[in-house]
Amino acid sequence: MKGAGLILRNLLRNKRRTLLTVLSIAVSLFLITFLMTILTALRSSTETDTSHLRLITRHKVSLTNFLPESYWLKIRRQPGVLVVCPASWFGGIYVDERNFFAQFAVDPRSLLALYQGEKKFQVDPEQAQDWVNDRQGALVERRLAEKYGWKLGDRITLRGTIYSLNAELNIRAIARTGDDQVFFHYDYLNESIGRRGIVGTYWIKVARSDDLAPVAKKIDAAFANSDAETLTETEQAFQAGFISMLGNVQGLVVNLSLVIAFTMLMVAANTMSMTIRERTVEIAVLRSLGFGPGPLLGLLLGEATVLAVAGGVIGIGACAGLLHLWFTVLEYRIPQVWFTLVPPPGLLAALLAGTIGLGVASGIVPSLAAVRRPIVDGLRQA
Amino acid sequence: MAAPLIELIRLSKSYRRDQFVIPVLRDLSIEIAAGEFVALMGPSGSGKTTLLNLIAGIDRPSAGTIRVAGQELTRMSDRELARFRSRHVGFIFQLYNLMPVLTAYENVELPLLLTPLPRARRRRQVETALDIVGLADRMDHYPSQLSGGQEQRVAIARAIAVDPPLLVADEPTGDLDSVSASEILTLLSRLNSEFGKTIVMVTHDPRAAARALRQLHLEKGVLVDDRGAPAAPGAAAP
Repeated sequence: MKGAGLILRNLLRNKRRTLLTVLSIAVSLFLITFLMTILTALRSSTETDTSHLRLITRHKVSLTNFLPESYWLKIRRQPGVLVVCPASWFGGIYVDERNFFAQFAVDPRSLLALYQGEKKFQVDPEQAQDWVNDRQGALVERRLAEKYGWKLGDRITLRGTIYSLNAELNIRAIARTGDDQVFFHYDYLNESIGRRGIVGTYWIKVARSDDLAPVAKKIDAAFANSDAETLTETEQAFQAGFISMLGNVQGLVVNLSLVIAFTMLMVAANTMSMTIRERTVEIAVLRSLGFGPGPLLGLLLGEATVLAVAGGVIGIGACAGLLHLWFTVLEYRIPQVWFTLVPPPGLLAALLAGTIGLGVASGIVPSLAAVRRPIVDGLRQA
Repeated sequence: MAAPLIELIRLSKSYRRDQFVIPVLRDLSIEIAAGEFVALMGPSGSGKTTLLNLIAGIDRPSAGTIRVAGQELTRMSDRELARFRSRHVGFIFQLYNLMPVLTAYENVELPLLLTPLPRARRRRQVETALDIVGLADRMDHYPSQLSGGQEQRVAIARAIAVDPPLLVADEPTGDLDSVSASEILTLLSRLNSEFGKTIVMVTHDPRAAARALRQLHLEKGVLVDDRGAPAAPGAAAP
């Protein structure tokens, strides 16, 4: 028998209490894992292979204001700009309002060039060409096609809410695009609404990530003091700003996680305090036998850490498993949410490492008190 | 007289309770030779257990010097004292104080975990210790599966597992029936005579004290009687 054996024996001496503590930690960590997965998804939903090369230009006043179509060419002429794609949020309804997914009117050739080299954006070249060639063609996300039973050649209608247009679209390409979205021709939209020449945003690709800041600056400078001043920012910054429109969701998630973590710490600390208090005499005996502060702290903190890690493995594992099953295996999508909730391995590793910290934090105060207490005082408790 | 294993020089100990200072031991000087079996006697509150704790290095004096096995305990840090105890002192408590979650074997092995001994060697020492106390056949039993006398014998095996020169026993028979108590005292006598262990035992029981070769009587923290002390070198025989 070594230290690990002694730790396990001590933990199992009050099985019910150990089980309840482990379960309470597990439930707390299940919730924290879930919340942190949401937070990570919110933060990382903007990061893709080539997102570090993309900018988005919008109206400086608000995302709901339009920019002139003439900016397309002007932006294209800026040094460092490789591709410019007009992209207008259509916001249409497919059959029912509950069927939410993103719909953008774009220039097909520009969009394909924009996402060239992006692993998340995989489209069959022939289908891509069909889409380009059909003015009413649509490129749809594969998951949406599976969900609604769309096939190539099908015709779908998106009822307009922002524009006075019911978009009649032919499905020409079914592709992996990373998110639940449908792309169709900007020209079709523009012509259908009377060639008003308005664009919601411009999606821009630059040659090098070093070009992002100077290009963004030049674009905004080019339209300064115009009727439609622009705000150009990285795709990630744009998405972050978009997310912030949801309210302080991130702050809420972080604060909720902190409250749960604090409660969990209190539960674990209370258990360790009780466990150590009940063993005052045993600890004094161990010290009499020559166990110094180091080995004793190791034993006591080891117990606290095993408790916390066991709860962590169960809670984090259960949450990760369920989310994986739901979002990866069953490919479930939350209505009106563009990202999936799959915890990245880094997050899981960080949370598991955090459980070690939880164990030490929960046990350190009673453990230190136990090893500092005079031995004779401990023996008198017998 | 053999070289003293324990030297207590002008030892005093007092406790502070709120604003009161309560003296427990007063200016005590005692020498105990290696191989002695000493009984510490006296009424409750006389300072027996306090003296035992000081000798064993689990408490510190208010004044005076304690030397055990040539080492001055009063100058040691807590860490050094822990190391000292692990090598030089075996503890036997009135209530045995075995770990209830460990078997007899594992309880005896506990102090050996602090040594660098390999597992096989530890096993030999545990088996030897349990054999000496006559419980080799109970090594897989938990304390709850043993009688009081057997538990105390396991505690004695634990005390001798690292083969320390000094055993300290605080009322080792205080919680036992007369038969078991007699067995324990016989075992302690054997450890003293056969294995040369120096034993300092606190007891209220005159029959237990009679097994010791020397009896020290304390009253109000002062040594009032010292019977059976070995003769000092050069002293005339009675």
